[in-house]
Amino acid sequence: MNAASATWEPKIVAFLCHWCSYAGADLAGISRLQYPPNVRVVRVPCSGAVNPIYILKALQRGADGVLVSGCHPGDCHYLAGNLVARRKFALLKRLLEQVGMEEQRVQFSWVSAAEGQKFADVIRKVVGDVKALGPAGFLSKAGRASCP
Amino acid sequence: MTANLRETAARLLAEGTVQLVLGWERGTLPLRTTPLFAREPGDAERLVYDPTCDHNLSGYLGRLKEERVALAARPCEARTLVEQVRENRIARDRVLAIGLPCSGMISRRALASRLADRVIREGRLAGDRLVVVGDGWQEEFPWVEVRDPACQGCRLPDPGIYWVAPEAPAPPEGDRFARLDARTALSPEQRREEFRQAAERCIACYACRQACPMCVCAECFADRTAPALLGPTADPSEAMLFHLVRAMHLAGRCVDCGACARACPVGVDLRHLHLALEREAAERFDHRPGVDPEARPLVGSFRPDDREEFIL
Amino acid sequence: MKERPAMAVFLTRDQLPAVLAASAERGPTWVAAGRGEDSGFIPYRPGLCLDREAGPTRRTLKEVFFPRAEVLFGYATVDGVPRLQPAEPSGQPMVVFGVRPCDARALALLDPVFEEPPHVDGLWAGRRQAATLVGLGCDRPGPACFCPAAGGDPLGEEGLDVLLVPVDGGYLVRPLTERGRAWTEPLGLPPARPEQQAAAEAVAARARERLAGSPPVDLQATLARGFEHALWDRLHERCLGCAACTYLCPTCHCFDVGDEDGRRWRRWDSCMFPAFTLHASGHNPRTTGKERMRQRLMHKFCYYPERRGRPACVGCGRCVEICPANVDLRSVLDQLKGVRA
Repeated sequence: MNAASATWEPKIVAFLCHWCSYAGADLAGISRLQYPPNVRVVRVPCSGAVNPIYILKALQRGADGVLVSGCHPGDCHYLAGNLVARRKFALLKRLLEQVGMEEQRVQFSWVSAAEGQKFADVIRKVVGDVKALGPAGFLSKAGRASCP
Repeated sequence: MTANLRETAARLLAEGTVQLVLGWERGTLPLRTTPLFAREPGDAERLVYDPTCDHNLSGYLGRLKEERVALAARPCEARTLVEQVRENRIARDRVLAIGLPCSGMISRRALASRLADRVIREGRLAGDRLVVVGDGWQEEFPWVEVRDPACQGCRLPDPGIYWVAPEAPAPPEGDRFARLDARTALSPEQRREEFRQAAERCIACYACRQACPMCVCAECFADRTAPALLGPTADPSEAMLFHLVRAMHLAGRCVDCGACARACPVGVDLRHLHLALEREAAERFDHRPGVDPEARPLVGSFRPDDREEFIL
Repeated sequence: MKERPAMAVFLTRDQLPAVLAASAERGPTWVAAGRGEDSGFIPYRPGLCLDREAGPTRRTLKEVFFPRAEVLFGYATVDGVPRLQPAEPSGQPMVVFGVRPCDARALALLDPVFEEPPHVDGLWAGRRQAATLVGLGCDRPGPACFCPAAGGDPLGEEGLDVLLVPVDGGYLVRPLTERGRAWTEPLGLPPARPEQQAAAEAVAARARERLAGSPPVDLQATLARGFEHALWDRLHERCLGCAACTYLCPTCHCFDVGDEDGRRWRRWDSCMFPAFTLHASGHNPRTTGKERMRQRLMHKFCYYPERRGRPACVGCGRCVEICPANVDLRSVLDQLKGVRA
């Protein structure tokens, strides 16, 4: 993690809901859509299952940015998981703003199983945004051993 | 006011209406009070009430064995009680809230800073004047000059939770979110630095959590070992995670009583985090904690038309 | 108190920054600095506020020798062979300046805990051996102080290498050990004049007078009899169950261990937390705040004295000062005194 290095690439952890966004990522792959390889995907049952500490922990332990993606409102497999998540995310965003975290470090999206192109676009945007911000030095653990 | 409180408490205990009255008595250090668990009518004589009664008593309600208790209730206790009833943590008819008028509390931190940290040997309130005595000095000034900034713009609703409503509460003054507006000038770098410094000070004693009447988890995420959500290090990031997640857990539930900041032995005050979430909840979701015992939980409920302009 | 009039020298207030700066150039130099709740021991740098207010710093000296978290050893598998790499203290001589007698005494109480053979804690012992403790006598004890009750003295010498007694214009400097003389002699300070000696005695008398009346905390026998006393049911009621009292106690020394990224850490832990005694089975022998508070008091005032002959409390008053609910150790002990089994 060398900020000055021109070859520095951000690590993005993406929490994708099993029913929509993960399938959307799959579709992007099957469709051979190109997007930056910086993203590490963690499949979760629902965007509503994403505890804010997962996001913060990822940033603490080496992620430079986090994306959480779920089903569009109305499409949730569990009916309203994403709508509950939406509230949590709005609050988390405000909280991170209070402690000076750059807004683009943590992003949220709705990507359906049919939106392979949107998934690729979202990843491109998040990676670009975080690349512009540089490494997440703030929440990340100082002097940590590199995570495998 | 103290006289009324004592009289009411003694009567309730003597009649057997309640088995316990929760209030404050004089503490052992200047300008300190300590919670009093009054069980005999005679104990009521020790009750006091003044702007040094700053510890939120509602936090004790959850662990009491008594069938019925009376609670000396400032607006802070009342708002907390509303939340505790709302979350079914205590049965509403178990608690008789004796409403107390409140025009704010003395902030020990504000006082220390005004006195440039000189040691106070003796302190007393004489009406609205505060008299503090140290080694070879004495100062006297209106106590409101060292009022807790969080008391400014206090919400004094009557949430219908009182058994006896407070007499003529002082009208709320100022804007409760003014403290946040004052922070808008801070750059993100300054905010990060401020938060980092707070995290470096934090010794993880969790006094904030323990003093908080709304920190009610049977097992705090910070204490979990499998999986351990916080690492074993003293890296400031551990404290950052703790305080951020605590703020999330208190979103829509924190009544801004300030117990966390008062409890901190090393001067960490992160109330602005909770207040920012309170404002977000009010503006975005029209949710106000401590007002309505029937309200839906902020996180855990939703409206189909909640704004989502931030979602890609 | 032993009199050492022949050896006492005098350091003026103006000379102090230069003395500390020179010390910091030679090696790590920790100083008691800061105000109120933001005070503690930090590495010296010019411009620090060194004027001590009444009583001890908020954060304790133990943090210098027993940090909040530290690595015990690292481990890795190299070519299929597990390897350990124990952490070693640097061994570099260090100076700690501004130590209140209560804090120094606390280290002396902790030494047998960490250094009694066969289990010698290398990290603790290494730091202790490397440290010169320069004390600063307590001219104005704080409102929560009760060191005489715990067997201490505002100008106590136990555990210190040098004692400075603050008087008008400077400090009467009394080297107490070889190491203390090694710190003092190079300063080339003039011998203290008789009136400076007298002033120091007056400071001591005033400080002792202020602390007069603190009742002794010798409760070992009483507590040993009173384990099941009904008083415990009430004593803990106001306690919130936080660890502020234990983490800011100069003699509390419990810790937990945890692993991360190939390193084993130890970090402070507190008997006030339920997880402290939680078994892997899920059973917890100390179920409520009552058992936890009792443990804290029994350890300090019964079990420790049973083993070491004196209580594990130095009367610094920090726990009194910082308790969010103003649960005052002094009055708790006072109540316990009345216990008859």
